[in-house]
Amino acid sequence: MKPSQSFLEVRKLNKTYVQRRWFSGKRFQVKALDNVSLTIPPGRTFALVGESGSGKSTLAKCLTMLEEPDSGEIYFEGSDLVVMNRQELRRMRPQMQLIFQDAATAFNPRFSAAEIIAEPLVIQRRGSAGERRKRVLELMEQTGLPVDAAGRPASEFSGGQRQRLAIARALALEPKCLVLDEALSGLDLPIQLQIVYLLQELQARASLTYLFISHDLGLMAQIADRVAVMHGGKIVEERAPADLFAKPQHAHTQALLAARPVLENCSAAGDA
Amino acid sequence: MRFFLRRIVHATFLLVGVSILSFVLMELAPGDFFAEMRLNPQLSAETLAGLRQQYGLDQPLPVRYLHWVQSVARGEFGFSFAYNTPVAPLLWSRARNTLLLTAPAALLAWLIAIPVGVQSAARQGEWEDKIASAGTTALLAIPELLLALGFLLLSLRTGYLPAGGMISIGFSELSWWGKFQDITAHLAIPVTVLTLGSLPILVRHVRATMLEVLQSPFINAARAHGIPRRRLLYRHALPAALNPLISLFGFSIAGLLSASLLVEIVVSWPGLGPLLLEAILGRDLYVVIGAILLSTMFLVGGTLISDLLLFAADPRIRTR
Amino acid sequence: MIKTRTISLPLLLLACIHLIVVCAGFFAPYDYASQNRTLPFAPPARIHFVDSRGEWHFRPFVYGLVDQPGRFGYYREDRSQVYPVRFFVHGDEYKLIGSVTAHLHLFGISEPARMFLIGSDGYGRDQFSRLLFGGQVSLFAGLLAASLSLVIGSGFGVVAGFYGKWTDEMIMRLVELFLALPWLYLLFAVRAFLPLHITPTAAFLMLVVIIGFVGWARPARLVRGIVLSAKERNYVLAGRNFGASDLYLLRRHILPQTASVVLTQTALLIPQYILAEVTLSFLGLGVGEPTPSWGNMLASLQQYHILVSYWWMFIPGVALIPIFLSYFLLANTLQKRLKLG
Repeated sequence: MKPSQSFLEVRKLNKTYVQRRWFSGKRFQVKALDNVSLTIPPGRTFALVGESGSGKSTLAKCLTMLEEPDSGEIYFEGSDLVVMNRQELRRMRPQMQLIFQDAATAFNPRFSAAEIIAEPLVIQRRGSAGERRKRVLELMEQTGLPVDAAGRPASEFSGGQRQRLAIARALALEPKCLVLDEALSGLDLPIQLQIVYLLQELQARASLTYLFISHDLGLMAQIADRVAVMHGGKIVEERAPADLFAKPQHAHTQALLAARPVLENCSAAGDA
Repeated sequence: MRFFLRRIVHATFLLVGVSILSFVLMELAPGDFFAEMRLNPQLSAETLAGLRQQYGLDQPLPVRYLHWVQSVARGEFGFSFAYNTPVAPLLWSRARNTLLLTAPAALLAWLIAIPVGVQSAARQGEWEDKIASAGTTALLAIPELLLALGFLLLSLRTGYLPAGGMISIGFSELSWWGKFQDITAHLAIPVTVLTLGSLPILVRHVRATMLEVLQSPFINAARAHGIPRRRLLYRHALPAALNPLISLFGFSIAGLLSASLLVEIVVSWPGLGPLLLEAILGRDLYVVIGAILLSTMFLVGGTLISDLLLFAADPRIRTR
Repeated sequence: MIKTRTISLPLLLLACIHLIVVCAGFFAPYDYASQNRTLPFAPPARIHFVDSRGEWHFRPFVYGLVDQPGRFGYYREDRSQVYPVRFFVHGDEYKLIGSVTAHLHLFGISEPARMFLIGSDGYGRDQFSRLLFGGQVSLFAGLLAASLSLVIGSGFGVVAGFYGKWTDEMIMRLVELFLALPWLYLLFAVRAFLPLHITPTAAFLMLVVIIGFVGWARPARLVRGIVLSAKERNYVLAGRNFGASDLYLLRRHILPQTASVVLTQTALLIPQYILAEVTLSFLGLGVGEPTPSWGNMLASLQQYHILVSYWWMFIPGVALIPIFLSYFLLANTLQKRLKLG
């Protein structure tokens, strides 16, 4: 197997969840990832679309090594994450960060905003307390959070602000790649727009790579450079969004497209 | 079916484990049945040694354990030094008395707890609920020991109910009906104490479970359909609450056994309680081990019964 | 935000009671073992302000007791001599800390009369003094045993919840076993395997250890539940994503969650454990004479003639009720308060 040269590449990833029931003795299996292979180019926005249960969240967790795949390789800048030990992983982790959908549960309710953003720095033991404080304020500015709210607990922030908080925290370690797992679902449309703007701005500034995971094909088509469709643990299609819309090849993609609510008179932000 | 076989295998391992553990622990404790007798100047050391040998107490531990297992196989469960009989018949007769006490208490407690708990949940926050809540808290704060002593005092003062024991003198001359009345009269105090003691916890759990069930969407839907309140409570909500309640039943058996242990001793009811206490104080080794094993068997039986009940009551479990 | 006032009432009451009990030597007029064979089963002392001549005394006083000839156990007051209650008197010796002794008592009366605030027992020992000293045994046995249970239980709970899979399975099986066994049988069983005749201090320690060990299962299960659910929270996953070690996650995110449950559990467990000590001592399996424990003070009530005639012997048992109620109230308010926190 040739080692990967691309930024982020996934090869033949497999993961099965097994639930055992004591009395019936039967095993209840869910194949979440079935031979999944993907290549994600640097500096661009990649979208992974599929319905619930298609395996997208599992892929997100495997990419960030929060779960271990049963088999396959994940190459990040040439190194296979799956075979790394704890030490090496610890060094790699800052490069790839995960942002969750539910901002409410993404933070410890007892932590203040400043503590939340500073936590990755604390864990990775970067900088003194003073330097960390400076960085926190920097990040809050970058993500458009009011600086005087640094001491308030996360529960006092609105939904949109919480996502900004999540992004600020994710950026603390200066990652190269952000995985956003349904990060925009559950936000009101205008807030979604704001967050998308912010993300695009940040991407331009730091040439970040984004992997969006979503069930909203319409939204993804507008912000992504490439879209992959997942169904039943497999990738069924992967193209540029324009091609996808024009000539969807897989039946599932067609179904997804057909299910989109179409807003006739609304012009989309960003490029198509 | 496989499930039950598994449980029975587990249970057997458990019983074997408990018996071995008991033997080992008993070995570590100083003194045996005849140690107390050492104080008696009339008994010489040789007599004691002879007695020990006769009962096999001078043998090494594994040998004694083996003999005991053989005794179990014969259905004797060892030998009681104090009573000079095999342990098994002693245990069974006492266990029967304990059951005579705990079964009515359990029944009564549940019979009272369910309606009170259900009504409390249904009228949450209103005065019925508050009274029930205050009552259970008060009852919870009163130790059963105190209740038992208090009732004894009452019966001694007023002479209404017999104070302690299981049967009166002259029991054997009574007719069937007379015998029944006599035992019931003797049962009154201990059963009342046990019931009152278990009520608070049961009522609270029933109430809590019902509250949860009453919040579920299907109850709201039923209410919207206009189903009358009582039917709603007892035909719709309560069956949904059965699952956790049946599990509770299994656990409550253990609690009741513990409580009855104490109450029996206080009111001199000839059940397992006084027997166990005697055996401990007198270092009657095999009786202690037998009683512990019996209680383990009760617990296993209790959980098995509640699992059976769950199986029968909850269609979801049956179709898995 | 936090209603500290509602907590303080039961907490205050409990703190007072425990303080008094700890300083039992000072608050009690007599030593717990000093007998007075001429005054067995004396009723609680009647405190007067007006004497037989109709005079008002500023200081409350007590009459001496004299037993009536021909009737055992019935006393009448001897009005010839007034014994005023004095405060901060010099009395029986007691231990402060370690081997430091003191003689100062809060109140007392002159010899040869005795003031039995809540009566005396069969040996003429002051029940009030014994109540206070006995409180040391019963209340603190409960407290210490509860702490032990919680430490053991939390330890197992954290290990089971955090490491999951086999460790969790094994520990949970053990928990189920301990939960399902009748607790008194368990206590009896463990007690049965220990020496019968031991010194009161050893008995106290033994009680604490047994009761504590037997009861670890319930806190373990609760803590395990919390750890299990906390472990899956997104902020814990995020922490892992930043490369956090297990220890960090436990310390900063998971264990603080258990604090509220552990505190509430403690408040609920302590009454049960006090009761366990009282039960064991009542049956003669706990602390023995002459050291008082509320359990062995109640033991004499097993004799019917004492049960019927001397109502003040019930008091150690009745004293449990307000203490239990306080702990329940405390647990209740803790639960409510910490849910918001």
